[in-house]
Amino acid sequence: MIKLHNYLKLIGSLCFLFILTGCWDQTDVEKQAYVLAIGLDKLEDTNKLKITYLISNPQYDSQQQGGSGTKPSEIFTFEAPDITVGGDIANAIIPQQVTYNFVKHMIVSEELAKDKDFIKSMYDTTKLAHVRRDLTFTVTKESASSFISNIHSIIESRPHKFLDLKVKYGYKLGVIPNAMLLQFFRIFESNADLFLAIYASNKMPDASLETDHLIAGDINTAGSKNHTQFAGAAVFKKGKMVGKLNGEEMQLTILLSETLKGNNFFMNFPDPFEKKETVTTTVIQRSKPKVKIDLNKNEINVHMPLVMNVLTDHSMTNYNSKKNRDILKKSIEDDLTKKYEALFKKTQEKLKGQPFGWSLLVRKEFSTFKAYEDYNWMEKYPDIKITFSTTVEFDEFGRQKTVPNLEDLRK
Amino acid sequence: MRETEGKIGLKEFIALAILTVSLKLSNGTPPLLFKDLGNAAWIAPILGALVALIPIWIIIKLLLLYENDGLVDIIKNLFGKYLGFLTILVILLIYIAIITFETSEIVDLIGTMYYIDTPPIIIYILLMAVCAYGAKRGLEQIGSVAWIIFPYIQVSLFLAFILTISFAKLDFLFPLLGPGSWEIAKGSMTNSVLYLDFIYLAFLAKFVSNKNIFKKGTQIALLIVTLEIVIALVVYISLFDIKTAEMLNFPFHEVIRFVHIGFVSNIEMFFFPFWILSTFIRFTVLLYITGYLFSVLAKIKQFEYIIPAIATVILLLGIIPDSPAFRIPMMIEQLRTFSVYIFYLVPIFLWMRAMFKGDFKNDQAS
Repeated sequence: MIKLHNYLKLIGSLCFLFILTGCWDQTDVEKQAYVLAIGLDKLEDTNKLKITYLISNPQYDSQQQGGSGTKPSEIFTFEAPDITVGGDIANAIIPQQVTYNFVKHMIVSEELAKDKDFIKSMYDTTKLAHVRRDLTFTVTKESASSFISNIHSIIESRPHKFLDLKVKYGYKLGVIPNAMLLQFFRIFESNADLFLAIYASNKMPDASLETDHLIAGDINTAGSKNHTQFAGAAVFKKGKMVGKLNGEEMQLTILLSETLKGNNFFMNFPDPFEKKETVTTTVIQRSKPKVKIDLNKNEINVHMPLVMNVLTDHSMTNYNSKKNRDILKKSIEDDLTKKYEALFKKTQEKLKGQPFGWSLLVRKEFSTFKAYEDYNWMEKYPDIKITFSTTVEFDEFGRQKTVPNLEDLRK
Repeated sequence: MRETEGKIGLKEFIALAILTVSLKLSNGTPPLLFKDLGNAAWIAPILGALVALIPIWIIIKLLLLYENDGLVDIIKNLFGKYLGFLTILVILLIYIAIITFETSEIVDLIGTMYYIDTPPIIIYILLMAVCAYGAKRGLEQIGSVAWIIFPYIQVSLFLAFILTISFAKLDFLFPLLGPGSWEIAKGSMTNSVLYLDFIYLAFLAKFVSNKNIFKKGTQIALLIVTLEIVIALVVYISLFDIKTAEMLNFPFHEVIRFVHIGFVSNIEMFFFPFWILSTFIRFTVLLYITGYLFSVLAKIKQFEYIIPAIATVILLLGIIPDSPAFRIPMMIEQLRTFSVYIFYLVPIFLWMRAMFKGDFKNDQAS
């Protein structure tokens, strides 16, 4: 009798499993269209947007033997007043219900990012139930729709995976920032720093023009059909794009930044022993730079200790001698200082704000929030005097530490 | 029924008290704290707890003094028949208002964050049905359930907080004094009402196996709850920065939407079940206390049976507000300024009355 009673209880409680699916919010996996990236473009002369969806195809198997003809994803572009209603408009074409559950990338064209009303459409993402604050935020040189539809990689045929890997590895190299909606809103709302978004492009540069170094859309590539480039950053001030940083400036920014973390970058410096050659090093940051802020004197003092591995030696210099190493060290330190001074000049004069997250340090100089807000760090930054110094230490010189002296051999 | 006669022990009481009060870190309470205290909001629970110790300490003292009486009997004895009735009525009405607003807020939360297509009324009915059923089962069972789920809830809560570490910057806590020291003092005082539930939990002292255990349980629970709320507020501020945090309706749910474990994203549905269980515990306990107080006023012996009726009344009241996302926090705020008087004045008057009656002297003499 007791045993039967227990069985009844078990069966009774198993019945509850059926209501676990919910009734109104029940959704079937195959009845949904998973948007993985949203592209936003400006539509001329209206307040409407041109929205592009990158929707994954769950039937696509990355392991499949070629020839079956299924594509990894579908791309739709349409016009809509905002991304919330965009889902419904998209349903005119897409049979399944559009869901934002798995959106990973927000891609915005430079034209729209420079628009003063751009921030208004960004706030839709804070209202939508399924959009997360860990979306990566990318600005493209061309229109977002052409960027998304022109990602053709043979090695990674699924475009969303391609974007994931690009963003992850680019940040590891230090050429693009770690840009998420979280920081976008945080920096816009606190209004004290500049926000850096990933800068990407699918365009090849004009061969006739002289290219800037390492910024998306300016890197000459040949061979593959895929020209997708992720390098540099789009700089946002007060929710509007105001400028760009190239890949090298981005690396310098990450090394200095309070909020971005990065290590083991490859960096290139002029060789002190032979004018034409360069030295490639990996830069390792073992301790954060010491930034001393003196608001009374309007001064900032930065000291940055760095460790480097010297990986190339095209001047075939013998670094066995301490003298040679010191010359290299001095040359690298001077070059870094020069680069940083140029970066400070750019941020102070052109961008009129800093992307280094220094507002976090300025906060500590005040005891109340009101005093800090009244000080208005964003306005004060362009007039501040910044002094920069660095000390470089060498760690490794590659697997083989010396190279033969070329001149001796060629005698 | 077993020999425990519906009484709960130390561990059940601690689990129950912590789950009941610590839900405040994940509902709409943090935005209210941010509004008052800005980035110094994390100081408020600490200072608030110190201030709230006074009424809580008084209540515990009184309970220990009148060894055989519950808090209801003490209020009746000290205030007399009519004033005592009135006091308990006011306390009860405040609690019903609190439950109404808070359940309404939770339903709004679940409706906007999780079950978007489900009509709010259905969510409300389910929530109240579960809580009323739980409350009707009696305190002993609520206590056991609380104790069983307690570790899981704590682990999931701290897992969520630990996962934010690589994104959070403690620098956002600066400038340390936030809106200024006077504002902090004032804000901590009004917000000490966070701990109002401990006074209500004192009505349950009768159902705890003995009063020393109740005392010990309250002390431990108060300490842990304070710590949890402080940690939660620090996490919210250091992840979002204060300007953003102020605008979020439910910071905890934004946190669990943001975090991911390695490549595993969309893990909010891992935290949600634990959170909803703690919600059930809170409202079950609140309903149980409401039912008990009502039974005292109406002189009903088996008060478990009126709990479903109270739940229905709360449900009907809770669905009234239009645009709840704005109305409810406003009403909770107004109720808070009112209930802070009850929180301090009732215990202090009780204390003074006991002094005049000379009960403390008798206690020392004997």
